[in-house]
Amino acid sequence: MYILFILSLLIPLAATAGTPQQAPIVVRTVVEAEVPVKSAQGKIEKKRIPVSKAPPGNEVIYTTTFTNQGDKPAGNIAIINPIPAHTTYLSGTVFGDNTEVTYSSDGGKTYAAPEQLRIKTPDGRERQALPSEYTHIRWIYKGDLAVAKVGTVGFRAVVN
Amino acid sequence: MIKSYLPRCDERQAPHWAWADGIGRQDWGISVTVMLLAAILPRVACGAGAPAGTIVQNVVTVSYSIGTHSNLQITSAPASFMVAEIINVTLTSQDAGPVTVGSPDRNGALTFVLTNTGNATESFSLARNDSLSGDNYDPLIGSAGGIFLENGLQPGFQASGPNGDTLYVPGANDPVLGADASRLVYVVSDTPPSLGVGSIGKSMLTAVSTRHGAAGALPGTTFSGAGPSGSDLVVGNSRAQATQISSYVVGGVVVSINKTVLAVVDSTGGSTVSPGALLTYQIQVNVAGSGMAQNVMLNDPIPANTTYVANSLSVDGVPRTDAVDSDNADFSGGAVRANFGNTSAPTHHVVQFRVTVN
Repeated sequence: MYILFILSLLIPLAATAGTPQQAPIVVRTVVEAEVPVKSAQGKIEKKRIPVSKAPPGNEVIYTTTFTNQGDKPAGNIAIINPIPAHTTYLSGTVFGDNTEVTYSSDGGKTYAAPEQLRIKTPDGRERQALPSEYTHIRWIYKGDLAVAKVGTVGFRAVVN
Repeated sequence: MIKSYLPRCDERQAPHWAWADGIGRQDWGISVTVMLLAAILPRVACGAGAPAGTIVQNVVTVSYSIGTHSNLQITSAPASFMVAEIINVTLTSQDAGPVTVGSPDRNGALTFVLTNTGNATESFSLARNDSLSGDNYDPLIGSAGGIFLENGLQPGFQASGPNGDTLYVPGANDPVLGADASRLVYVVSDTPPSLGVGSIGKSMLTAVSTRHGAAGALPGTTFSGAGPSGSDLVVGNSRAQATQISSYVVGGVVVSINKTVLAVVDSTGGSTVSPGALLTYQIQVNVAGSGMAQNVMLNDPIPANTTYVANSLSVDGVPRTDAVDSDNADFSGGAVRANFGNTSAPTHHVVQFRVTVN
């Protein structure tokens, strides 16, 4: 009786053999600011630096990279980024090679192209949502992400 | 803070006066980059900026499939930054035009709204400057005091009494305002004598942040770690100070009356002033000049040896009852009386009544 009991404790560990032991896709997001910096020649150039503190009104750049560090191509890749609280998405600043971008204005329930996004007005009617009212951005990566490949997406926002 | 559906808070919005704190306002401006981490672009925070010290986090989720496994998900570690404090302040005048005073006069008030348009609580020091060019005289510090803070008991400036507003003493009661909060400030002045009607006196109110080194600094100037929760403190486009000029105008109101006998009809149909004759009197009340005459009242005892003709009273051509009632004239205590209240110049009234000669 006791031997059976010990065996039953061991079985759950064996059952996980079918699922990947570590995530093959790694995702990292950073927040940066673009600042003018004087080069050695005295020219003013734009440089991206990490942001640790920013006052209201400043623009920040969110860049997200996703890497396939598994041993097979990854497909059906969707990247979802809720617009961070206390920031406002800057219209037209989204980027991401090889992706299709849609937005949500309803808290991430639905995604659509800008022309189809709706907001309810105080008197109960509907109108097209403004970019500053988007709640989420979603990138659909086209095709597969090959092994060892990196995809990059992002957008700019202003601190409220 | 309710996020309204106005896209960008780019326009300056005049704060409308409200009796409590929390008057909505916006900020606008373009600033020059001075230090790293303080690059300001021409897009400006809406309404209440995010509170200083707030941690803003970005988290991204990637869903994918690999081989036969679908609906896999991985979530990023957060990318975070702390909202720095920005110092901004505005002063607006609440007077629709120059405030009318007499010459000499005492304790005329100019009304301003001081608003903390930054994103953290700050205090501000106030000062007035009366030696401005482009006016006819320099307003004097009011007998009651030079600057007052509205204490919220009664709208408008009260120099004293149970609702008397608070005399401002620099360094002792510098207004402390939370983000987006406002306070009414009065500049109170005496007016010198012998000034002609229409003389203008300008006065400038200045508010400066009490943060050492902030007032007047270039926008973007950053004080590391000086804000709440160790956030940086950044000087905003207002350079941590605000000024506003308002003015007084000397008004002169002259009230005069002119009494004439319009008609005499005696008992024979002639016009001799004899017993039984009916006299029609007309009194013209004239308010001339500029400004407002307060509590204009006429009290005209009828002449001796005459008797008032009942119901003969009219004001501006409209009959009035003799009785003391809700219309603005009556015959009472042997006198014709009319009450015109506060009357702006220029105004003209005509009072008529009849008497018979005893």
